Amino acid sequence: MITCPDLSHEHEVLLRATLGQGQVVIDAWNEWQQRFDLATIDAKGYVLLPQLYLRLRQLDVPEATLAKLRGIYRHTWCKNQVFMTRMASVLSLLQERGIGCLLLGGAAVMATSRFGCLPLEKCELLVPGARFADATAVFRQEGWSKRSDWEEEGARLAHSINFTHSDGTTCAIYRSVFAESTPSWADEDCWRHAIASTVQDVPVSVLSPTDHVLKLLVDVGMGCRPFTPRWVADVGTLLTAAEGSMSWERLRVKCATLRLTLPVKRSLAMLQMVSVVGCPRELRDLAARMATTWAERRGDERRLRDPAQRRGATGALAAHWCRYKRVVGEAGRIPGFVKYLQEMWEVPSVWLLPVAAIGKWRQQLVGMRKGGHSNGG
Amino acid sequence: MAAEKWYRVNKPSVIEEVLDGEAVIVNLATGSYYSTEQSGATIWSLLAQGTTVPDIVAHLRMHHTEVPNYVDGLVKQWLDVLESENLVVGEPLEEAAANQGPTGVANEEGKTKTPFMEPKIEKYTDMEDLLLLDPIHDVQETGWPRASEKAAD
Repeated sequence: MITCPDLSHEHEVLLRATLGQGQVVIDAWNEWQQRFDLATIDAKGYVLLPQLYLRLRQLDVPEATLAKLRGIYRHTWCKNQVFMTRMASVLSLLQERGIGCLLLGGAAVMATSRFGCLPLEKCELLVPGARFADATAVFRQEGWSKRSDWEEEGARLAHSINFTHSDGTTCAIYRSVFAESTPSWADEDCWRHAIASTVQDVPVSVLSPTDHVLKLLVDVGMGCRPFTPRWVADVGTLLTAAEGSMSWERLRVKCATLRLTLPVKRSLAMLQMVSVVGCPRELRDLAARMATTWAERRGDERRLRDPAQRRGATGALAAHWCRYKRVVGEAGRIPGFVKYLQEMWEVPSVWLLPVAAIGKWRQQLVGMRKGGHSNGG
Repeated sequence: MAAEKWYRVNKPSVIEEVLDGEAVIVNLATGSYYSTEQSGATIWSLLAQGTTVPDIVAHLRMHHTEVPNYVDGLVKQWLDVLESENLVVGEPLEEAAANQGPTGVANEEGKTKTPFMEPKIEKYTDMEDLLLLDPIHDVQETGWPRASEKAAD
């Protein structure tokens, strides 16, 4: 399910102070001080405070008025440094075994922006798809535990696997940038445009701002991640840091080719609603120009419905068709799609596909009668 | 006369940041947290790039007023303290020149000077406990890492 933006007024004021420019920041900070209090700030708002401190100091707001904010910044900086030390040891482990890593998530935002100081909670690494199994084996050998038993069964197709160290550090290994099935060129494109960086002197590649912004828009637009102040701050920080170097044409082509236009448009609309991030004109123009197919729209409508309401073969088939076309691109045709369904449903013969489809429909009905959820395949 | 030394931060065990006239330093090997301001932060910002005592003295005179004549001795004493805490490493100048020599003092004429104060450093030995403090509710008004009396108990 994708929820509409649910930011409080306090969150919006804090975001304006954190991501705005010039007098907007000062006015927002003054408004926040008059109406709110540090002692009652919630967790979603708290994550913005370290970056807010840097922004206020950049604008020469007197140090004396920011004592506690400064302490919050120092506290976050220290925790992040300890976190990155653990991340550096993980990166070294993987590199010793010849497994390249692409940094995703909060660490990647910080690597591309001096002012991206947000608390780091999880290490997120993309590894080459062909080395995914090797990477997860490394983690197991080093004593990291998996977060759920499900991941063992789903490992063959899992988009990512989460590990936890005994010291509490969590790390997610991704086999592809996007949760939806995408062709190998989509990830190869991300690797090609990655930025070279280091994590405590350990070399690492970082997802480029163009690809990172696209991933963030897709994640929220598809409901893989909630719309939170943290998400808005990540998008805003990347857009500000990469101003002038974003590759809008590459973003447009990827969006269209991977059939991710609708989730991206949805995220942009949500961003416009809260109007704290200046959406670049290029991004607004892109969103207005990007066209969608019937199958995309049907698949998207189905995804937006509550799982218990996802009936009907048309929507399910449209969603599968979109997924198939996303992977194979314009070369995709009906015979290939049939083979794709065979693989997805693990059916030995194409003649058994109708039987498999009926079976899934019946499962869905049973699930709905019991009040459970079913994606209907 | 003792050979001139080149001093640098003891990486990778030591991580640091200088922001708004304060140097925050963490020794990951010992779990200790340090903070130094004013002339201490000025000296630390030079150490981050690698420096010598004469360069430090020249920099202090450029950034501070009322710098005493015996500042060389103060700086050496200060560097001894930092070395004893394993925060910096002093190497013979010839070795440093072979690897990565000092960069010299940048010309920063025109910056406002502040009165010189002897460098001091605050040390907190248990960073794990420090990080557990709530930086809003468990600290003094001056902010983390200074714990409130209630939290210290």
